[in-house]
Amino acid sequence: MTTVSAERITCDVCVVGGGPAGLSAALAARRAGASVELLDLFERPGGQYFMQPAHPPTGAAARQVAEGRALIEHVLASGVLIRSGVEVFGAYDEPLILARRGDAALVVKPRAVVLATGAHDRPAPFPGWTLPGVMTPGAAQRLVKLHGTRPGSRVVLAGCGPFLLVVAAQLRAAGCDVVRVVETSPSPLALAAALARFPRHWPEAARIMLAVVPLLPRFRFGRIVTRAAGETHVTGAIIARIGRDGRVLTEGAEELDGIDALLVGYGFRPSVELATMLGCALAHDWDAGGAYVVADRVSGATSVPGIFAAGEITGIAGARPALAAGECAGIAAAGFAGKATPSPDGGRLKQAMDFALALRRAFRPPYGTLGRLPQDDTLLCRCEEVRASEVRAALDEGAGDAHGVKMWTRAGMGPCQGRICGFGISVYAGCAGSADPAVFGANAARLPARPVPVDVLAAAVGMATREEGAQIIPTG
Amino acid sequence: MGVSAHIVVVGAGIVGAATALALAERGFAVTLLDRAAPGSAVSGASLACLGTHQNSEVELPQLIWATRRWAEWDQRFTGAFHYRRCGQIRFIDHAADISTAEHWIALERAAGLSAQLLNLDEVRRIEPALTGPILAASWSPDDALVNPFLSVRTLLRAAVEAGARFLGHQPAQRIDCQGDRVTGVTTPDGRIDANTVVVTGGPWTAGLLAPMGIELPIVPRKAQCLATVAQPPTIRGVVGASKSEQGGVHGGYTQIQQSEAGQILFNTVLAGGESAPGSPDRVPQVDLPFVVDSATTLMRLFPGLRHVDLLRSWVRYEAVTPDDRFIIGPVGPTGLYVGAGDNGTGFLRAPVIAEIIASAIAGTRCAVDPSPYDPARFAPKVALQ
Repeated sequence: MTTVSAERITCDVCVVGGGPAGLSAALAARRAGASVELLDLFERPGGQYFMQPAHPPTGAAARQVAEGRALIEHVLASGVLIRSGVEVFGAYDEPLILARRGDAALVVKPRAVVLATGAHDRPAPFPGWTLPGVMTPGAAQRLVKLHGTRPGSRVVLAGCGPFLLVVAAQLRAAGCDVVRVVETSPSPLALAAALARFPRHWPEAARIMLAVVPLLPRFRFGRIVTRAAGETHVTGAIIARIGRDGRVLTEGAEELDGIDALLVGYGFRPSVELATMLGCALAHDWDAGGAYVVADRVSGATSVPGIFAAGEITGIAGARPALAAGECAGIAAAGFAGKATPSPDGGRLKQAMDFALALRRAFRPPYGTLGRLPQDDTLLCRCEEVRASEVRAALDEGAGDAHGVKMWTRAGMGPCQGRICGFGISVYAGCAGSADPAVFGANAARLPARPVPVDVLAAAVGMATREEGAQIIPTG
Repeated sequence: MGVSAHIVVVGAGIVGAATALALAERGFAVTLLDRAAPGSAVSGASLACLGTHQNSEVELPQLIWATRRWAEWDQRFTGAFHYRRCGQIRFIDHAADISTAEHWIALERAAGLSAQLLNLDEVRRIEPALTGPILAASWSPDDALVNPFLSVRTLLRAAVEAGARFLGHQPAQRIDCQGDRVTGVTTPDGRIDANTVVVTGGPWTAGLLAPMGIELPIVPRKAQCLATVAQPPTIRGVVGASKSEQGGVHGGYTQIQQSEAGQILFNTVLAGGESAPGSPDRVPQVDLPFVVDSATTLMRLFPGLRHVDLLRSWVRYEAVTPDDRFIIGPVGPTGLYVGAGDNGTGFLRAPVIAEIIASAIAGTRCAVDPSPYDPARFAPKVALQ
């Protein structure tokens, strides 16, 4: 007989996600007197921004790591229990959190939940994007920050947004030869204009700028990578200008050769799966990352009582707003759990959000252009190997929306469940089927938020639905 | 819109698509509407089993006709919807249920079908992975599976090729009448004129007809399913629980099968697991007791699958009638027809519904006996105005 162990935990506040928003939410809730459990997917807390490598780095990266380490230490010292390596795969609005750590099931029954599940890269498909050596800037950053591994020696970085600058600086510091930084925005003027209004952010901006100054001649604005070239690995890229009407101008395109990594991403997508499963109201704005959780601007309260949201899942804004929002949501969640708390002060959050929104306006990916990049044989869904021509045929026959396309082509039916391919299919449909990408919809998240073995699932749900009882469940 | 069509079919699931095809092939001008993407509600969530076994004693002739029609469609559309004659096993885990299975086998064999009782060795030869503690099983080799999505797509495409028009994301808001005649359907984009309206709207059917004073005894019932990540070929056919003497299935209802893409699809609703009433407009998550029942049943029957990753779950509302049979035929004002009440088994019956409605509208002989589905059986609730 095999067994799966199952543990049930009760607490005042359960925080899901150990990045800036989750850490500050946990700390604030704990300081307000709540018992707090923080569940984080990774080996060490910190999220993408405060990522904690096994061996602390020196130089420019040390500052950010140290800031994160300090926050984590505060959180631990306050009495928050951080559970790392925990995959949350289900959420019900009792509230009830279903999770596992390896093959052990974990059930959390809190009074309130703070969702701080963050975001992930938002790639868009183009010819050659599935070649080895093509990855997202976020994945490359993770390699560098966590393992000190370079994604390649001669690298092209492409996409949209200030995150590219950050990654460019980190790649350069890691010893990569950054051959090109390809930004879809027409010029750096919009960034300069946004910065001009927020002197508080000049020091941080100056630090990043300084680090990329030597790369400035390699920056290309108003351009886009239209193709990755290579046989078994990426060796080249085609970089074309974007016309005023959003069309790609093939004339004068640069054909770059001799590279071994191509990093392309167009912002981030909020990880709204658990919020969706809990029934939290979502809204859609591509500039905010796509579907995001509607939350009170101060308390982070979602449409579901007792469920609070903070950070990137409420719309992509970066680490500073996430830290401020986490604190507010943590206090509000502790209040919901019955602790006497002061009203959260939304001042810091508002300041941080104002700057984030200015940046968001300065860097808007050219969605129409992205939708035109795939050729007929370009894979839109990598899991199920669905090509653009198949998606187009389904749209032509009346598939109508993301769900229709999924049913008729299997696009989005694989392990990623549309998280990776959803954006690309949507912008492609916006061109191919003249569908409004915002109403085209997406593959709605359902149990499980992440794949979970059937026996672990049974143990977790069995534990959740049973009255207080045994901790070990025989399953076979 | 202000467009004119002779017949509007409301609801583009498998039933609506089949009906639109049957009507278009008879030369009618047909417009098929759906509130969302075609087949995105009950049909898209279906496990699409085409089986006569342990299904419905009253409807056996119609079911046999339907299975033949599906096989013809497979030939005609050259495998477009992945028709697989994989057979169906109904496992028996209570001795008392053997006689019930024998009863079904006898009446199916009398109708010319080839159902039989299997001992454990025979079960293992057909489904080697089914190693759980069962006593025996009944077996129906001719039962088949189709890809539910591609079935809707194929029939819809054929209907359009035959001249029908499809409008997606066009919810029918109202059926319009003048005197005792249907005159059209109103959608958010305007009115579509019609002298005949066919409502194949599954769980939305009763709500659409209620404002006309037509009360159909169709209620939504939560249907749920779980799917694993793709596996190598493991389960050959449909595996279900045999019916029991107590009525229904002893200890519940189970269906387990493997999709052609490799995912294991499974669901178990144990007795007492009846879900709370809901609305098809707001689809909730799967119920936790359902998850436990389904996962433990899968692990009990197929111990080798217990470490396989679950990938997805889904919920839809199917349309349930008091006697588990469709309501098919004219209701209310002249020109209004209904084909709804799938009871979770609409796929197999789709050609039957299409045949009954199309022949009634065309005034031709019907190839199947429509009487089990007569709306009038629920009179006087279906008030003829």
